Amino acid sequence: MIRADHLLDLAREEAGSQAIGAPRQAVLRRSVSTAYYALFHELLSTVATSFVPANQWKSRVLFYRALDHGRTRDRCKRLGKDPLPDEERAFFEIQSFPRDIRFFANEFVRLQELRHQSDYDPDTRLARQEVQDAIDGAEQAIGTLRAAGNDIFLLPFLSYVLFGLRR
Amino acid sequence: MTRGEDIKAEVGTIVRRNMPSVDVVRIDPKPVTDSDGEPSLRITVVVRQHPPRDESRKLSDVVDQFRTWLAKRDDDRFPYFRLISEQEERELQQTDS
Repeated sequence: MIRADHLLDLAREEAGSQAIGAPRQAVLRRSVSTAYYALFHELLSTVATSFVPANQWKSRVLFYRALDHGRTRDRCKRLGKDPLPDEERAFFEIQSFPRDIRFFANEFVRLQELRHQSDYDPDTRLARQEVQDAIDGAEQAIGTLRAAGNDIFLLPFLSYVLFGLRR
Repeated sequence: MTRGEDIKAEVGTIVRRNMPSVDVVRIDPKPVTDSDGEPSLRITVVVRQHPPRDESRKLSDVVDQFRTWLAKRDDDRFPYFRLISEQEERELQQTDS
């Protein structure tokens, strides 16, 4: 598995460059991208380890690679809402997911958009502090996902992220 | 669709409630299409000074509470917040991408 902690360390190194003057935009853009990937890989890892036992390595790899960026983001957008959209509210029979899971979902959406801007929008300009905020956000969201290990809502959340609702 | 002035007022209220030490200078909501192709809101909150780390982490609460406020108005747009100080904003205007 790819270690989210190591990616976060790398993002901090990139954003914290001590070169004289304002940091280069290219460096800050890379840092945002690295922070997003830390979060993405933590989610992949959580999916794989939650559904597949450790002695089934190849199956874990398949689960690890089951998520794609676009669908995951779309599903996080929906599950981060309070109240949930009508279809999801009817299916899960709850008003909304707990705050921590909503936080993870919304942070995933926010960071993916910021990564997209950083990687593809030539007009985007980033301040060092907002990049550090993005890294902090990724770190906090990773911590939230790890702490949710015994949360009864974690598996429903991960299952939905994997499969969505059949329409 | 929620009006810009209502958005500014609500964002101001939520930011001050969650980040009490923050001195808000300006709130700029902008309707945009995000990289998913969906209508969304890009909201820049310009502050006198960037808040300490513990407080800037409260931005996630701002997003959560503001999404709920939008949902009550049948507004599905995702709000992308940007918190930036006046000084950072000035520096960025002189920065090449």
